[in-house]
Amino acid sequence: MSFNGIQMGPHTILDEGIERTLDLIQDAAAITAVMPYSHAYNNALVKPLRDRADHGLPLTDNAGRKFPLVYVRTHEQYYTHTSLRHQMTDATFEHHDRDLFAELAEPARRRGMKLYARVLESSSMARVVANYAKVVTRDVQDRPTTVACWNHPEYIGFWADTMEDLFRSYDLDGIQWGAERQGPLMNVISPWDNNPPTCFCEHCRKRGAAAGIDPERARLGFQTLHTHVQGQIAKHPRPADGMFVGFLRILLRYPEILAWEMQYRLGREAICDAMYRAVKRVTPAAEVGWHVDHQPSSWDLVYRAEMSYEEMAPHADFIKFIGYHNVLSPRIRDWYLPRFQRTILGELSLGASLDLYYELFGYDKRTEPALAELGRKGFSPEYVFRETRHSVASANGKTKIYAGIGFDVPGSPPDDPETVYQATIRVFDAKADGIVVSREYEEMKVAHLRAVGRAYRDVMKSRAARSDAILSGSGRPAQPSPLAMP
Amino acid sequence: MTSDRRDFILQLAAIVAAASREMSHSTPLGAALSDSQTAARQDLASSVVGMQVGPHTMLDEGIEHSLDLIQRTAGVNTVFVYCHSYGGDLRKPLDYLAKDHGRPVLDQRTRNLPNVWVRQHEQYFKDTTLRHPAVDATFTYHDRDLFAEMIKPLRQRGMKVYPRILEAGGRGIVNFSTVATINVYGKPTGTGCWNHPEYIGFWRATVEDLFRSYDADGFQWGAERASPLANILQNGNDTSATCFCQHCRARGKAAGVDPDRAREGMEHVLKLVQGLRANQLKLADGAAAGFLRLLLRYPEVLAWDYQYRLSREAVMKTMYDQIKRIKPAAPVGWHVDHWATSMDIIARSAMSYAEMAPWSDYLKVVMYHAVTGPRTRTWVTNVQRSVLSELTVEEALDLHDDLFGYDKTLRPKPNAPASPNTWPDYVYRETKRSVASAEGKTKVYPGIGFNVPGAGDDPDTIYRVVLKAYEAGANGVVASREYEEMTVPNLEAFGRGVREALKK
Repeated sequence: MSFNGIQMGPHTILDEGIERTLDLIQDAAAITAVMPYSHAYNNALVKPLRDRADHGLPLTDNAGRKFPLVYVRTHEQYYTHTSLRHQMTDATFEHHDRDLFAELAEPARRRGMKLYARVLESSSMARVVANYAKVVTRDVQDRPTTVACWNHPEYIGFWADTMEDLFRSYDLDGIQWGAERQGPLMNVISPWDNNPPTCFCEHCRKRGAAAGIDPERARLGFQTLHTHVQGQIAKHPRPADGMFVGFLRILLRYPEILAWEMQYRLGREAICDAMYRAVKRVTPAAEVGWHVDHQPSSWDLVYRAEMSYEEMAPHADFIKFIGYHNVLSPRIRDWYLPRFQRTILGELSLGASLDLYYELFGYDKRTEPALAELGRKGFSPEYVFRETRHSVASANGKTKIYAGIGFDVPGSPPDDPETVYQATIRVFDAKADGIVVSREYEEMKVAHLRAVGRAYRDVMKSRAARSDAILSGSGRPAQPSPLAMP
Repeated sequence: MTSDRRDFILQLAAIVAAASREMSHSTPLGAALSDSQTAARQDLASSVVGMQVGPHTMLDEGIEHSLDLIQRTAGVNTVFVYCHSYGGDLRKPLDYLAKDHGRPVLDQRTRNLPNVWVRQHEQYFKDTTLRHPAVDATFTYHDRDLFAEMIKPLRQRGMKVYPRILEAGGRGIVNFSTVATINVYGKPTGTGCWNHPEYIGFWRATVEDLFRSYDADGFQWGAERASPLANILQNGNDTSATCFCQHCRARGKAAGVDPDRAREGMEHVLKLVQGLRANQLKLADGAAAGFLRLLLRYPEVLAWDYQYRLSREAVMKTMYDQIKRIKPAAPVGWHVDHWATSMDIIARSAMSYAEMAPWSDYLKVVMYHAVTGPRTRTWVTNVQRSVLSELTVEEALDLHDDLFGYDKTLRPKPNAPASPNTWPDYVYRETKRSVASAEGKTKVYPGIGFNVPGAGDDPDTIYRVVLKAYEAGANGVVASREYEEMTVPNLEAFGRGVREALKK
């Protein structure tokens, strides 16, 4: 059986009822693993009513509700490597008296389902995590930010200790951890804000120096690049030799930018490795994997270039990459094309930039939305197939690939069950090890959950039939199969 | 003095006088020309209208005859003649040569032509063991001293001469192996190293000899070489990634670059390119991502490439300083080849023309319009074969044209005749870009190419191309590639364009 997980808001399970929810997702979508947030630090639990699906129960307006971001008990004895502490959940919070992961284990197991904790890290932690200010990144002007530094020993210790706490305190089958952040280079050339790049704290400088990089040259390079890009965004005159040439000129003169960017990524992977080892020390059989969000999976060439999934495998039992076909369309329209045009690709029309994007990422521009269709027409199941195929190839059999099938994501063109069905089928055509039904259960319409379930069951049925045929000798596999070996 | 030439000079004088009159009648509202505009016009009127000329051609056709033809037809006031033609191909077949210069044409492949057209004086070569190859009696014109002989005829016609050098490999240079670059595998190549003190000294000595021994008005030097990274992407052979000699390593180290990491990185990039070209590498994350991955892991590759450029410029600065010590008024400039002007994004990114200005009185930037299409196609296809293999050739060309600021809708289609109507636009855009890149700190002379083998030309297009170059702000023009290839109707078209542009 292939993995079939579902991302769920913990508050939704408690609101709808554990037994009822598990019945619904198992019946409709053939789910084999539930993945509620243990730590929802992305702070996106409260969704407007219009974005939530009808699961047969009256919808409560969550706007006025005070949800915690942490849905597990924190045990002080495990936090020996850090002075940071998770959000404290007192009686003023909804569900403060519930212990979801303790309550969920038995009903899930009874249904043959596994239980995975899920964590999303973000700068929202600045408001609720004790002593967080100690670990924040520092920008090129040495100003503190609200984002934590991967290289700060206390931040590494915080997450490693969190893993120990989770796996010693709860009966978990696995964990998925994620941080929806991009590296400093992409932060400059495809910016979400105008903030100067990071991190140049003492720990990052030390890491850089140990890797043979002059931290001051790196800082100066990033400062120069940021100033240049911000000027382009502000419509300052383009460099005489061209906008892209201007970017490349800075890289040639400050190649330390690339070196620092690579160290950022290695720092990020190192914290993943610390968590991985902490989990394995407690529960060796637990699956530890990483959420690769939509930008790195589908439009961040720097992330893709930095490291193959195979290279992440020593600290990754699985990689759940986002392959949300429908919402990719407005995201490329709003987040990819205009940003790059304003920063480094000003010489390209948006149409030319879109074509280049499709080619470099290996998507079929004849199938995927044309420029004028972006936002109105979603990406196709072919995108899901191609991105899964790429991910499987990048993993090279060294780690499992779970494709995040996304539907009913707010801002998407409308979903339909047949496309959801096809997208799911195409994931398995591309040899994924499983799927994670995404983005959030509370957004998912039952008809779409059923489409996933139908596809998953069809694939499993077809595999079973093929195995039976091979074992009985009545069928010939197209490729040699391990089942056919003596 | 011919009547045509007198007419031309009179025209120029009239322009200058008219400009002066306009300046004196300018109003506070600026309706007339501003001072700077007037100065620019005066500058333009006296600026270089050059032509690249093979030394053997001048001797073959006769100095007086060729100068008269050049001046009468093309309005040229400065001849750029090879004093050292290492990188120039003098040995052209008859097919390449113009037949209408009024003199019999010789098959140059049958002749023993030297690469050195000046006398060499030992006393100037103190800092190097390298010597230019001796020109003995076996060479054609070994007994002629062209740069001495042509001065009087030039002066009689009010013309100037800029000796011209194209550097390239050993080509008979004595002790050249001493200064050869070292590739990533530690093997010497046939190319000289910019950082080798003896190679730097050799070029410094060469220009000292030149300017102390001859009455040269200016100078143009060029080296049609790409940087190691561009060279790998273009050629992908084992000698394409250089140099890792002791001098380059010392330079790199002084700049904070680890030479071993740089060498290792270059080797990885070379192997990537070779593997992709041979279809032996299939990268799961894509070819472009694979290339970027190497740059992220070996940023020393970019650092080394940039040092290459700095050291190349340092050799040029050495020559510049040496010439200025001897003849401060002599303009010293550089031949920026076609790859560097119009195809090589690494070269374009490494340095603006304004940044080259401290050692450049002018830049002769190659814009051979009629061969740009096929040359760019070759260049881009070479890159597309490896690190841009996710793109088709046409898509890669689109990207190239966009990034270089050319109009991709005008690009010649493969296997279809190019439309000459498209060429003036390219020359205009590239000149404009060059002038902007120079920021007024150095002069820009577009090299207007015609009768370049492999390209079809017509006089009207050449005329319009010249006008476009001036319209885009060129400070002068240099008729290129070689006089010996240029037919008279095209020479006349060039001259018509120049005269009309200067009249405006």
